[in-house]
Amino acid sequence: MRVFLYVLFICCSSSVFADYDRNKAVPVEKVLFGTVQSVRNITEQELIEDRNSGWKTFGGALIGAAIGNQFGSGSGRDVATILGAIVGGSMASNSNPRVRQKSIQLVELMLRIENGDEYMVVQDRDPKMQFKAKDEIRLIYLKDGSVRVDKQF
Amino acid sequence: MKKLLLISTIASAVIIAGCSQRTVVQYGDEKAVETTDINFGSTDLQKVAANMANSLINSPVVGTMTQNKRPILFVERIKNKTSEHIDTESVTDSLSTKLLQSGKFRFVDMTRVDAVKKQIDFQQESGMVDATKAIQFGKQVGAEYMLYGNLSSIVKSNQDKSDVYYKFTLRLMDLESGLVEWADETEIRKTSEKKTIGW
Repeated sequence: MRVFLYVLFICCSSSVFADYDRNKAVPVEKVLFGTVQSVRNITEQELIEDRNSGWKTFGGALIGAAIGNQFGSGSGRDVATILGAIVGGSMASNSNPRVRQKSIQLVELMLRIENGDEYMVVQDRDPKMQFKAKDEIRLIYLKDGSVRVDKQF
Repeated sequence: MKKLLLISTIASAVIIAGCSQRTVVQYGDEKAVETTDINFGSTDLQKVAANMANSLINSPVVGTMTQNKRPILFVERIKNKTSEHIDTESVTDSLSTKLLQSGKFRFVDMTRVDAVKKQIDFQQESGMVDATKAIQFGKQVGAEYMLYGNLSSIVKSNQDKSDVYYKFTLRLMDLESGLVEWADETEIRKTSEKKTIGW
């Protein structure tokens, strides 16, 4: 019985990556086209520091749909709520090792859109679609208020 | 007790093996209508490419344009404005193949410019190719027309029903005058509904 429970635990913890369903037809508000200027992994320490300084760095970022749906709902979809929930969740799991560890790897994408505007998007690292500078991308605004960055090809 | 344990282990192994799934690979008709799910699929791609190619080839404007010559086209990217990650290059590949096969147009391929440049560089500069037979720079022919378009979708769904509407717009622009000489749209509507199967 103990073995069985252990297997279940592994099954549950394997879904730490938020699910990206890039081939699904869902309502879209608008799509912008542009290129990636830089990609950077965000560390947990950085998130905690930014939270303590009142979200000065990530406050203006657009939040990726996958983490937005996991950590926010309804009206609570602003950056502070979602990133705050991520920091809170990881700290709780650190203090209590018996709680399932959630390791969400966030990336910061700096985008330049065709009309010259620049955007910062924070979304979780998708192993199936990793970005690098100069990649041509689509910035998709989904109906639920979150965004998703996709490669054009 | 040990015997009982052994028998039960074998029995459970047999049951698990009996339940396992087998993967069967088969060839199918590539033109068959695919309705696996509501998302953009092979049938949509084929329909869009065929409709657009036929419309362009049979339009009266193109008839006049191609009367005495074969205009040179280049395909600009199709802008994908849907939520789906669709390989729009595949749509334009099918489209340009059909147009080339019609014998009315010629194409320059902008996606291979770097590869061509590399080859000409090699012929000109490596010293390995006979200089009298090497391909010269500056002899290529420029495109006269540009094909470009958009793919957009409207998605509506509730608990039981989903409806997806795709609109593919394609335009042909005269690069010299900037005039749009031809345009057409292909629309696709797909619906999926949860149905209760009963007797």
